[in-house]
Amino acid sequence: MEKEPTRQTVSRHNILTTKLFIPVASNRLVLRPRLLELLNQGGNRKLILVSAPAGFGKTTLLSEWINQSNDCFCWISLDLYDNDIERFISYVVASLNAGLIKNDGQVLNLPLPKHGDDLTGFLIQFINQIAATDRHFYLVLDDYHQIQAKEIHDFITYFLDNLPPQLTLVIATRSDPPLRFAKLRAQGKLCEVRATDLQFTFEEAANFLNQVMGIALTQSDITQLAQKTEGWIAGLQLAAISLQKNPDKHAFVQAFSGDHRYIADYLLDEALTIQPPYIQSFLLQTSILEQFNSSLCNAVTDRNNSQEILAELGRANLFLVPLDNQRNWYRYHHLFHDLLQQHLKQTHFQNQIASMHLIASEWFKTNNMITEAIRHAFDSGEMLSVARLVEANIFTLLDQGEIQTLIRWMEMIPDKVKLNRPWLRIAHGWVLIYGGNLKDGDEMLRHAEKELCNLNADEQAHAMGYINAVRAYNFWLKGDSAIAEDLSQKALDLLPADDLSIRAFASLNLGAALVQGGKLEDASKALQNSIDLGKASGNTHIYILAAGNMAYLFLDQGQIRKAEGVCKEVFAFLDNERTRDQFPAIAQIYTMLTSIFLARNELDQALHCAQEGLEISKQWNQIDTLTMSYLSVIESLTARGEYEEAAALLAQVQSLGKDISRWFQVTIEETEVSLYLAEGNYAAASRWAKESGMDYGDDFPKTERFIYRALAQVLIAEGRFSEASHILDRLIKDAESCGSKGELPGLLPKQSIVQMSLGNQDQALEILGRALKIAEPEGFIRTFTLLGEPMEELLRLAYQHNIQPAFCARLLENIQTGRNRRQLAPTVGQDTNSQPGVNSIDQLSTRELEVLKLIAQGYTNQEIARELVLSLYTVKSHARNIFSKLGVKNRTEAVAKARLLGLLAAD
Amino acid sequence: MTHESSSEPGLSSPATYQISVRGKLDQHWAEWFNGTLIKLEHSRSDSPHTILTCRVRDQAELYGILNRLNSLNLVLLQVMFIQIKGEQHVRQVRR
Repeated sequence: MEKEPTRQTVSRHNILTTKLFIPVASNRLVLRPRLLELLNQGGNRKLILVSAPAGFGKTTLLSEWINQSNDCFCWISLDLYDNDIERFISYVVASLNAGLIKNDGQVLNLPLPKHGDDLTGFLIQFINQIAATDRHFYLVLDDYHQIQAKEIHDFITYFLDNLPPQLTLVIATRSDPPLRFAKLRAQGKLCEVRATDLQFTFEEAANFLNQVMGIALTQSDITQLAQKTEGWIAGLQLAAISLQKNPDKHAFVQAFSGDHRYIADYLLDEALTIQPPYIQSFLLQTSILEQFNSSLCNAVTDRNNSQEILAELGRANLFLVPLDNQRNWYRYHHLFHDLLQQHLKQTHFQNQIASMHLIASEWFKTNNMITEAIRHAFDSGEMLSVARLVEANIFTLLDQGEIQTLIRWMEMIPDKVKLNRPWLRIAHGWVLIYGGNLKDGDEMLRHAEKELCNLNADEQAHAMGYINAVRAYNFWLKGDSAIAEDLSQKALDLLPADDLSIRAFASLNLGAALVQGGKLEDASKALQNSIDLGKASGNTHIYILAAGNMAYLFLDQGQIRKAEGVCKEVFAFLDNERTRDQFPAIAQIYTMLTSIFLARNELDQALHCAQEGLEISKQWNQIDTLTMSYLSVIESLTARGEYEEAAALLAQVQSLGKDISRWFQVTIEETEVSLYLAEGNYAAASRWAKESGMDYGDDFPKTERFIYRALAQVLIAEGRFSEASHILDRLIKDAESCGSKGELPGLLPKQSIVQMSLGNQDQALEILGRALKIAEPEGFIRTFTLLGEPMEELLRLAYQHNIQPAFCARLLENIQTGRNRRQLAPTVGQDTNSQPGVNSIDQLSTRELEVLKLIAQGYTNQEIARELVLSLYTVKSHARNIFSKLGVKNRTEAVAKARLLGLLAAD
Repeated sequence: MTHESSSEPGLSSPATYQISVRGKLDQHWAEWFNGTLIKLEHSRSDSPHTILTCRVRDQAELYGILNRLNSLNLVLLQVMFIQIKGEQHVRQVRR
């Protein structure tokens, strides 16, 4: 079936693809045109509520509807584990993206809220982005009765109150959710499908029993069955399964009608007894599983032919629901699953069931699905197994990122099991620290340390190494690089040589601490060590993080080529291994690559790369990486002259971090100032400098140097050259003394311009000469070209003085191309053959022309939206189309181009 | 907060309830009620139903039971509060 979201688009960040899979409409079902009509009318409502008890065919009806519809559908099958607002939202966004990509490539682009965030901001963005899509679509929440969490009900209530017309929400549930229906009903915005609508009419029951199930029943038998089951579809299906194999159909109907037992019990008993014993036991044993494939069934049932049995169950209509296109994974229909489990408890001893859970746990463990392994271990009641699984897989569990679940599990393990298990305490402490609870985490590590005496000497050293490694990470997070360095070193001294994963982690911490402390050479060694160990141990997550740090270190030292080499190696390594998407840390590599492309003035690649990184880090939602990814995109956009877009993203990144460290704030501010200066907004830049209260004579530490770099830029723009000279001089000396040579190609050209402006031509040329010498072998281009005309003059002068003449010529050429490109050139990334010209005029629609005219009159997007009674997002999308059709990058260019083409002549 | 002194249960006080559902529910379902079930009996009328006497720790547990009954498609006939301090009263019910 074609409506399955592609695996690739949703595999990021642990989204279970099977949850977003739209169930396949069986080809053996009763067509129900009256209900499809009802649903089709619901398309212009806000909410379609399908509310009925289990087994009334809610899911089947919806999948049949979707199957015959041309509309766009997004689907989520909810379960008990989804009572967590962040997880719920991540499913909603993943499902919408999967459905939209499938249909027309529009993608929601917004950061997922973090634990404890206020959701209002997210909701507003979310709703606005939906309002900006240009087609109608449905979001189906199946099994909504599983949701108990009040925050999720509140989310849906708010969502319904503010629902854009593009979206219709469909809720399928066994009980009415606590949402405000009365208002919707009064507004005529609610379409309801309830049990009375869903239950089989006599005709449908007759059609189902006689045609679909192929049982020849008399009219009166059908009437009796339909009456007794009250049109309950699952009941009729259970009855049909028994009837198919029953020689005396009339007798069956009579016996059923006269019986007063709970119907589901009666029918399941009948349906089960009629199955051969191996099917019976197969059904009961596999009922401990939420989802299964044939290999898992083989393990739990101790068979080797589960594949065939599953196929048999499918043919026999035994409530088997496929969960993917390839028919690898299945589940049972929920009610059938409940009934089977009940029968299992009735027919098996508690310890038999527990041992089945243990087998399932073992299977999941072997197949590297640790989360499921732990769930079944919990179900088996074997807390010791749980403890062992957590201890042994702490790396995997942390990589998968479900920190909150992990914390809950830790709490569920009874104290007496935790007692004298220092490894479990270490895992617990680590989880707490990853989750941001540094204090309790540290306490737990201390607890672990006290229990070390239970281990033998070798193991004691091993565990103490772990404790030091995690503590080092804690101190690094807090910005205390000296202690972090010391603890990492201690960890490495204690850890056995063959535990590569934890050594990789400890080396990474050591490297990061050394970078923080400015000891670049030692940092390089530690990071290389971490890279090697991460690769060797198969701990790809750590490897990527270490490589990202290494690339940063090379960039800091001005070694672009080596940095690029590290990034390329990561990509090569991942292509050999598994897909990149599984490792969200890769976003850091994209950030590094963006810096490299920017330095070389390769702006298309830079933007492309930055956007890729941003998308991944939004899924991961790790705050440091997310911030860096945003800044990469902003810098790329600024470099390309797309100032409006850059400013919009800047606002987003500024609203991101509350507990972000000072280093990031400084970096964000520098990016902001660069944007002001690039778009020529000198007033804003000056205001920023004034408000920051900085002075060029300040004594500033290394960590603050970005912000002083920004101040220097502002001073140059203001023409305060001697102050700028002073500050640049210090920055250059600092960079040289601490080995951060990567900053010189940015600082020296500025200083040379300042010296030129001060009339010191010889000094200017001397400094420029140094800059060129450093820049040429590594290919730094942009630090020169972004300085525009003054740099152009200076480079001509240098050329005449025979200072690095070849490189000077290349830079001059670059500046010239850049200028050409900005003047009426096609937008980068477009086909360069399609030169924009008069023939593109007729491509502008009437609406776009209207918008263009208002742009020319200086209206803001907001004002245009008001004037033309459009949504802000529609205006923005028109503006984008106009830019793209005219081959320009911003409003100013659009107006210039439009004047040139005579589009605005009438005014 | 508990309402031990009052004659009605509070949100978080233990209490005993009788729940009637349509149809005869087998004894083996007793386990389904997580140990809250004290007694399962069948009425002897023409339209048979099952009376479940359940002791719950609080209202959340009671609603949990009702949800579970819903998940089994059982038709609810009556939910009746019996008493806060359950044991001796249940004996009365049995008589």
